[in-house]
Amino acid sequence: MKVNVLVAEIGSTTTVVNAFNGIGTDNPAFTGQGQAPTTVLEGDVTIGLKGAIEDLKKNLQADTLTWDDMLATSSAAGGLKMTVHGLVYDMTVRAAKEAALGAGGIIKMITSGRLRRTDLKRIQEIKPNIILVAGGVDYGERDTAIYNMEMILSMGLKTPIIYAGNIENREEVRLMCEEADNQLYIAENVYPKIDTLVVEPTRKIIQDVFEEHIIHAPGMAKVRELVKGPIIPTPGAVMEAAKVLKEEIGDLIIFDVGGATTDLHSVTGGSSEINSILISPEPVAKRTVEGDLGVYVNVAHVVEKIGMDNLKKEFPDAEELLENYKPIPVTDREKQFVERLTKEAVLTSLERHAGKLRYFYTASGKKTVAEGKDLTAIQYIIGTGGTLTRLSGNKQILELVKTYGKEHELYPTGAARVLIDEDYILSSLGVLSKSYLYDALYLMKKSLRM
Amino acid sequence: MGLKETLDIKHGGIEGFGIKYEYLGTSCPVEKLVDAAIETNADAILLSTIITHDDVHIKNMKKVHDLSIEKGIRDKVMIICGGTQVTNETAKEAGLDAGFGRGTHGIDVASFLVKKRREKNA
Repeated sequence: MKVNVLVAEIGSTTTVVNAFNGIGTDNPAFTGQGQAPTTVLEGDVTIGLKGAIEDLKKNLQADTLTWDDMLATSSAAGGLKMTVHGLVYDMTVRAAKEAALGAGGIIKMITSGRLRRTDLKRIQEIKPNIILVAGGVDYGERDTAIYNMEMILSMGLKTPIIYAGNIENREEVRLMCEEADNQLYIAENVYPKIDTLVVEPTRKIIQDVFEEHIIHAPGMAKVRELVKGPIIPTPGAVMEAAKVLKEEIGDLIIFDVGGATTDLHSVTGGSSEINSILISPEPVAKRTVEGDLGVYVNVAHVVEKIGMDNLKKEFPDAEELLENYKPIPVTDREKQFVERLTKEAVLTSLERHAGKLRYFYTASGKKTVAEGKDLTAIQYIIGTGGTLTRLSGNKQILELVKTYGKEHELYPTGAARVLIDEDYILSSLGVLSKSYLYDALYLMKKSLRM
Repeated sequence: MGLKETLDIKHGGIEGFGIKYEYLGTSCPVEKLVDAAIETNADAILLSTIITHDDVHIKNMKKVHDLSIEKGIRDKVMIICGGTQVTNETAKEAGLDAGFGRGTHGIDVASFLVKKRREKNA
């Protein structure tokens, strides 16, 4: 049998392969899926990939399988680990952080101002895949970024560095890296002037560097034998899907509640009313990741968040349910319980993602300002990930988002519509959209039942 | 005279004396004022205020001074406040370098900045 495109999702534990046919025609289709355990830790990712392809063959009842193109998303080998260094927390540091998160990075460390010896020690322990250095608006402060570059290079790590700070420093930084024989990528300044965020060029460079260096990650050396097309970090693929879908259907937010983390991706310019009182800029495409909100690995944190006493009011048998907790709920009672936990993860992650109105006192009296991401113009609330695509109460949980705000929060309103990624393939389609945009959009809408 | 007139070249502001500035608009939070000074590597922070009940304007002046100490730039940066009810005395009392009240113009501010900078660099 022959299919057009295979998209592999190489996760930390499972490798999934999705097959697509009819690419380039009026009727592209998602034809099947196969999976196998990831074999990165065993030293060769291709064993798991081939296993998943074998499984796919079985599901398709095909003796042989050929394909034209294979793409991948990867969160294996620890994902895209980054450290981010800027000058002032609310300006260049935050801009650099938004760039790294939106690209699908896992930020292991953030510093503002000059690096200390303890910071360097931590960088060495973290062993990031990429180091991102920013600091200073264009033609503004120069010394901190230069100092930090010197300190980082003094460790002799040979980790690729992306410089996205004051453009005046570029030649200096280039020379430093040349002398230290360290790979350097220059991006546009993420914060070229006050109140201006330029995160997209840096995101692109981060993903390019990830793709270029992925073969150096442990266990990934042979990945290019099979995957000839783009490889992007898995959270970056969901963001990619969010961005192309926004262009097609309008402002949206995607909730992805996982076993270990909850990711939110919103793509919206916000309302003009809020924009006029916003005190610091927000990226149009924003991702937040909550490392403590997950309904399997981090279930204890979520329970703690609700409070055992509160949980027992709704579930008198909560302790018993937790003792027999499984990765995938089986009985109705277990499903109800996971739904309750998922609701907590959704609403808490919303609180952390969205901005709010703030009041402060000036010489001319009380003023209202807005701070953080404005979600009031959101038209679609979308659920993806293993939890939100499979629970029967998924839509009701996401409906709550519309009425959760009290007064000061910039949450989505009643005008938004709830959709579910029924085929659970948004991240695959995100990477597919890099090569086959129209087919990916068609399949996204199909999965969302639009 | 408002802050914009003190800055603007058209109104005889400091811009006319070769001083570059970044205008942060009205009702700018204190944190942002100081953060912007760091990122732009500014020599001076200029703020303007009007008189208020409960001395909010003095508290705000003091806040800019205090936050600049916290962020480690107070030694480097000059902080000046203007406004019809501001006097040099109240501004200095709040920890600032100077205050400019009624009847002062861009040229007075520019002269102060130049002199003070010379002093600091000496």
